[in-house]
Amino acid sequence: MTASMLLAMLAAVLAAVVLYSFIGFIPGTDETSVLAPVTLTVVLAGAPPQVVLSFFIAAIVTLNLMNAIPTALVGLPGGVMSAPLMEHAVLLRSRGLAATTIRKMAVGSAIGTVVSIPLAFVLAGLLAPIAEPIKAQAPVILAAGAVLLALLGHNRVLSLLAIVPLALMFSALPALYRSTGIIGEDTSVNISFFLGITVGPMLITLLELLNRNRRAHLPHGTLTEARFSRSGFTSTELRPHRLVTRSEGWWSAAMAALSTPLFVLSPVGLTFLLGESAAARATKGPVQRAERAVTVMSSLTHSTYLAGVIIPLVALGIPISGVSAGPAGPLFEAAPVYTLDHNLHHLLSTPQFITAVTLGALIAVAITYVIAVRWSSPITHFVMRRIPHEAVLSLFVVLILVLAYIDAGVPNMFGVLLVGIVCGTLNRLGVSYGVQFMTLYAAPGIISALAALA
Amino acid sequence: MPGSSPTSLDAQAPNIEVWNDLVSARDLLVCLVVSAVSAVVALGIAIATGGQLLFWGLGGCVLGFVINCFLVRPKREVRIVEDMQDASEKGAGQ
Repeated sequence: MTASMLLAMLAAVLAAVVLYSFIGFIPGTDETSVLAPVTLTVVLAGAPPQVVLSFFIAAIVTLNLMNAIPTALVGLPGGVMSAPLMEHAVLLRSRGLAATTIRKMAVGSAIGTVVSIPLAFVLAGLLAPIAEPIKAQAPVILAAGAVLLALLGHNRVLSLLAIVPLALMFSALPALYRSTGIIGEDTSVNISFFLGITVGPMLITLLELLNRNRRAHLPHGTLTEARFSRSGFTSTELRPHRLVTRSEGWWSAAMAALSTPLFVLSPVGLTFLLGESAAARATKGPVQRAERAVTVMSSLTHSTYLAGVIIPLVALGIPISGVSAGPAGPLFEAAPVYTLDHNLHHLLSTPQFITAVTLGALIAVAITYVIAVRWSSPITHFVMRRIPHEAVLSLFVVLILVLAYIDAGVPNMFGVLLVGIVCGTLNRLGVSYGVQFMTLYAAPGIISALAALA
Repeated sequence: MPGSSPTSLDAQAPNIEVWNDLVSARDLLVCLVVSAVSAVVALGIAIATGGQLLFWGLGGCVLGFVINCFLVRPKREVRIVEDMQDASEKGAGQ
């Protein structure tokens, strides 16, 4: 590894930290839809695989912590992954403990990162001997993954029902594009569909605005309230005597370790489940319980995400977890740069994986700790006052349409609209992102199995 | 000072909740148009000059975003309060 490569990785890590520090503070932004398009852009721009990986790891470490901060400061969730933290963070905020909460979250995230990365590599190593047979059965494994995610989530029957129709749509559109000469025989538009799934729920709400009747039934309000405590702008102590109690530290480490082998499951689900069970065992009243909850959950958001990316990427090269099929999707498939037979898994050696992941994670953890503890109030204040939600929504819509256009021209912009409408509707009915993403990867296998029944 | 009411189904309130935060339908339309025009112009330049579609397209998106940030006011009421206990009385209801 040359010095110039290390410098490029360092630059990518810093860029990810800066970018996702701001994105994280924007209320309501969903992880998948802010991670996937930007990562895809980095891949398509021709960044070397190590740089892409460092960027992505730094991005998730930064985003997961920063997402939790508006929860602690103003009681608004920064993203989907901060939903489990809401109740506890709001309680601590009402006791005037916002600054302590942020420190505990920051330490929790560091524990989760440090525990899960080595464990994830060990698990990937253990999986390696059985990796070849798994890879040989990739279509079956991916289809099984879709079914598994459907069975493990809520709304099982609904999710199972959705798989085959979705697979039909994901295979039918490219077939139509090919037969009409919109794309060549070997071109893939999977990544556009991937973005269509991501943007689906938001798109449905935007389309609802066009219907006067539906619009009247959406939640209305005058202004979103955001109140900051003045002390957040003055206190800058980086190293108080005790950041977390011993029991908070141990619970965080133990739950992070426990969550790592469960990497195929949904990160939000695991964070809820394991975080609440750790908090329930706190006996010294509601404040202690909430403090343990925010520390452990912050650790869990990091460990579940990191394990969900690292294990499938290092061991298999095919996305078999919710995280790898979703936010980390562009690391596995980003035509024309990466395909399921030629992605980071095939391009990087184990030492290169370890270097890129460790570099990205450790630098991001260190910087985000300082940002979180020292500047979270000013940054959140800036974002709340200066970044209108309308601009954020427009940015995502237009970015996805631009990427769809680059993939396969104007017809594909409507194709992505179709995918967005179908997937957004299914999402609203209760079919999770994970099932939809996995179906996208499993579609070729499902369709060839279906064809055998004709 | 208007608007300490939390989000409700009150259709009289001017702003609508999309993706967990409030937006004004008119401002959203303005932002979408600005972003779209910015991206189309950038892609047009890329096609005309033979430049990289990705970089120009991305640049157009970012430019549109920056313009929108200056054009539109966030629908948030941001206040700095002295004592957190006081603020939580109202804030906890959300």
